Amino acid sequence: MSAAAGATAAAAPAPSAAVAAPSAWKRATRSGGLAVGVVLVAAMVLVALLAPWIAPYDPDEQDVIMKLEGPAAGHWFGTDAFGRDVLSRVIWGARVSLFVGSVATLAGILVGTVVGIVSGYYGGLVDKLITALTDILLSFPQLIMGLILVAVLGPTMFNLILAIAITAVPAFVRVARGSTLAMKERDFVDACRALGFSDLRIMFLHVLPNIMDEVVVMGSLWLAAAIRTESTLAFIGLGVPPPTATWGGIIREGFDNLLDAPWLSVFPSLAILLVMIALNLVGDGLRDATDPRAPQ
Amino acid sequence: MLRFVLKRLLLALPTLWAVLTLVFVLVRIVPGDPTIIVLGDQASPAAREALRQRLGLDKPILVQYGEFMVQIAKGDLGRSIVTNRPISADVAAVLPYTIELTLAALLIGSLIGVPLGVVAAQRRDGFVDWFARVVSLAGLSFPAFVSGILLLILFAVELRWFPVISTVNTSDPIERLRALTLPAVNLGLIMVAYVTRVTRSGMLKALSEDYVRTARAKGLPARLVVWRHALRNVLIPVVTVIGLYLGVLIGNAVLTEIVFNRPGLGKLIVTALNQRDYALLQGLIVVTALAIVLANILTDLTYGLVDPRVKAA
Amino acid sequence: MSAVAVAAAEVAAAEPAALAVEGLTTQIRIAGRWFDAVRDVGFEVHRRETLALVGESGCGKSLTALSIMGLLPSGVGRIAAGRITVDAVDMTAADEAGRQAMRGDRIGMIFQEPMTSLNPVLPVGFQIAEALIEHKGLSRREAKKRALALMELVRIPAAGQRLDAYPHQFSGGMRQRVMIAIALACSPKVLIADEPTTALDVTIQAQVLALLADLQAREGLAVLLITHNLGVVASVADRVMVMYGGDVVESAPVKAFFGRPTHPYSEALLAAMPRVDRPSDALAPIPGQVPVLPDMPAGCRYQSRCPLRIERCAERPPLNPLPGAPEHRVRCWVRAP
Repeated sequence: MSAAAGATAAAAPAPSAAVAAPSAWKRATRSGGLAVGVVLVAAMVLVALLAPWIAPYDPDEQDVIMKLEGPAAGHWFGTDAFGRDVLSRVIWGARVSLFVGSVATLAGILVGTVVGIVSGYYGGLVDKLITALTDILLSFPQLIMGLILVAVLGPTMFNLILAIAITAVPAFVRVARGSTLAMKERDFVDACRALGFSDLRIMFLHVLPNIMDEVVVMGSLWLAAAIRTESTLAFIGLGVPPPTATWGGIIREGFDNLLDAPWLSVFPSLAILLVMIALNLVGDGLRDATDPRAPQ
Repeated sequence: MLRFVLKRLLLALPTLWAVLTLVFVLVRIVPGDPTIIVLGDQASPAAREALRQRLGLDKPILVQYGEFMVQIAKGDLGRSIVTNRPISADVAAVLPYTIELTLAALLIGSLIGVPLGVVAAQRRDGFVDWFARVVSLAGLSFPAFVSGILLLILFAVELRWFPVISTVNTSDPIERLRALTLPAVNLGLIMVAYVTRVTRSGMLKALSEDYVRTARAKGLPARLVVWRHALRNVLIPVVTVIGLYLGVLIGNAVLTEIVFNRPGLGKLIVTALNQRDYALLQGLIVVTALAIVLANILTDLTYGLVDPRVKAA
Repeated sequence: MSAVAVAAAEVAAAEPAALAVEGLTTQIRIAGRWFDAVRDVGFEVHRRETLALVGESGCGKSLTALSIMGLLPSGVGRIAAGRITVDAVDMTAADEAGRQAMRGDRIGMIFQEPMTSLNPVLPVGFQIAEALIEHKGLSRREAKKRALALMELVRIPAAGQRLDAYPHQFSGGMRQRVMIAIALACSPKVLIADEPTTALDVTIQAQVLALLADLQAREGLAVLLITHNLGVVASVADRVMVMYGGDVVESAPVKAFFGRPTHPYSEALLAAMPRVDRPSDALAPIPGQVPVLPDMPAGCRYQSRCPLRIERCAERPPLNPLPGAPEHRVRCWVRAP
């Protein structure tokens, strides 16, 4: 019996292509999470961009007769204490959350990556100081840092973006610095030096592209964290000031009417959850795609 | 062991100093005149000058810095601008509630997260594994106030299993536990997510290690191989994660306290923000910083318990 | 050792083999398909006897060992056919609980990597005592006492003070001694040693091999030694089995094997081995590489590298005895038709 089994196995054509490691794309799509995440995020961005056209009402339009109405045909998500349409406010709120979150994350990535690469590339005393500062800042949870900064600076959209960006910087400094140090050990940086390339050119044309993978993965996860911080601060009362509709702000207003109008809190909460899950799916999917060793 | 503890405490001093300096600088870069922010722009110059003196803002910045450090070294956090009560007394009054909540969340996180991660790794791609992945995605995604509100609506408003407002200053232990349950579950969910994730990936790695094969070659039952041989090694990253996210937990405890209307540091922070009580805010930041540094030290000390290699180093 | 070999041969007829493997075929899964990584392997090891399993990495020798132990990684490896008997117990017919009761009790195993094979967070004394608690029902205290005796048996200096020490406090050679103590804790009948000295320094290698030989004589162990080192084979083995691509290609008493290596692969292996009686430039590496399992040729698996290849090699040769030497068997159409 065993001989027969051996013969069939040996006689079969060699599936050498199937034996090769699956491509990054295959690894990413195997779970399906990345695709779902990307579609969800794209839909959210679209909703935010098209808010003026797809929101059924003006988000700030008050209607004293239609106060605290439950979800119904005219107002799918109900109305708030001022008679404003919750669906329209949630749609417009997507603009604030996505805008603040992405601008702050991009700024954090930009500053953090540049500082990290330069610090790692040159080393020395400045590098030591930056590393020490990074370690201390990182030991503080993002939420507390953001809260302190906004409390100190005052709640405006600019300060909000600034505060959230600042909380993101140390994480990217650490990643960029670490990758740069690892990159410096490799021969091609020496080769570039031998060819007489300037430090600037080596850092940004040769080192930067090599660490982009990691930065992009972290970026998507930090975007989720940034939006989380934004909505949390808005909930505490440190967000973009009213009457601008923000998810955290709608929940904050709805919280006072939690007992008799729970939909005020539920719908923006679900919106936040959707964005969080979508971004985490994208981040995890990208990580699995770029790092074959990462556990699934 | 004592030497190890002392060494670790000494190492924490520079970090502590840097954090305190950061707090000092942060609170003093407030744009605008702090006395106007506190008293409003209608306040008389005399009242503003009095406040300035009371806060010590009339002194040179380095003197302020020195006094700030000396005060904290003595355990004095200053006095509230609004109530003029000692801040340390206010903090001491609510700190037990925050600690109670955080510890309960840690307990939930470890008691659920570790077994969930172990079983998920053991039966990879099975039902438990799938469940564990959903739980950790949820825990990592949900902002604490969102999950808190949803829990509140479901279990307190709709099902009425738990009180909407947590009455904590009761002598009845059952009532107190009932009030603690929802907030602790809310905060615990975050810890469950982190702990499950790191336990699962740690176990996946550990189960393929040579020493696990040795344990199986000894004829140990699967139960001992998994829970004694593999898990013991995974406890090291688990402790790291718990220590690392203790800070995150403290941050989310603040939100949980607000949502469930529990006394604690969180509500104190909101009070300080609403009343523009910068002295109180500074004191609270210092306390939070101390808590995080302390958590880091405790994490390092726990290493000594779970990893014999640490003591030798 | 040769005196022992003679003794073993005498007992062989009377006593059933401590370890018997018949027609073992083990498959592993590559990209969703199962391939024969060990095919139709059979042998016996008696008490006081050492059988050396020789071959390049990937030839199936370690898989054979894991099959015997019942330690094939689930989902990746499986026994497709064959019977394995340890101390008269049929391991292939037993369920997992039955195999578990045998492992560490009547059959022990030593692994290649002493640096990673011990659990870094448990004291070594406890790791030795564990099997005794599990199989012999000893109390922790009794087991610890016995563990101390075992550490002394494997000649770990100052064993009393090192009972509660952790693996990182031991050198590689000392760790391998601990591994031996673990494998021998319950006085098994069979010991599988998978490259037990490969990771060690040469001087330590000799010490550990001497210790193993000594313990074998004392306990009357049947030893299955897995190695790629023919020098080790020459010094400790009674019989040799050469594997290539999952097939046993030659099986012979050690003297006959070194006196007259017959399979072309065995010849090549010996030619590639450095020896003091030959200049080092006479070393002849084997051309080509072992094909990966999905690319294995049908018939004789060595044909892709064999200088003697004939047409008939497309058909799998049987393991034939050489004329006049029934103990010396070779799987080759050219050399043993």
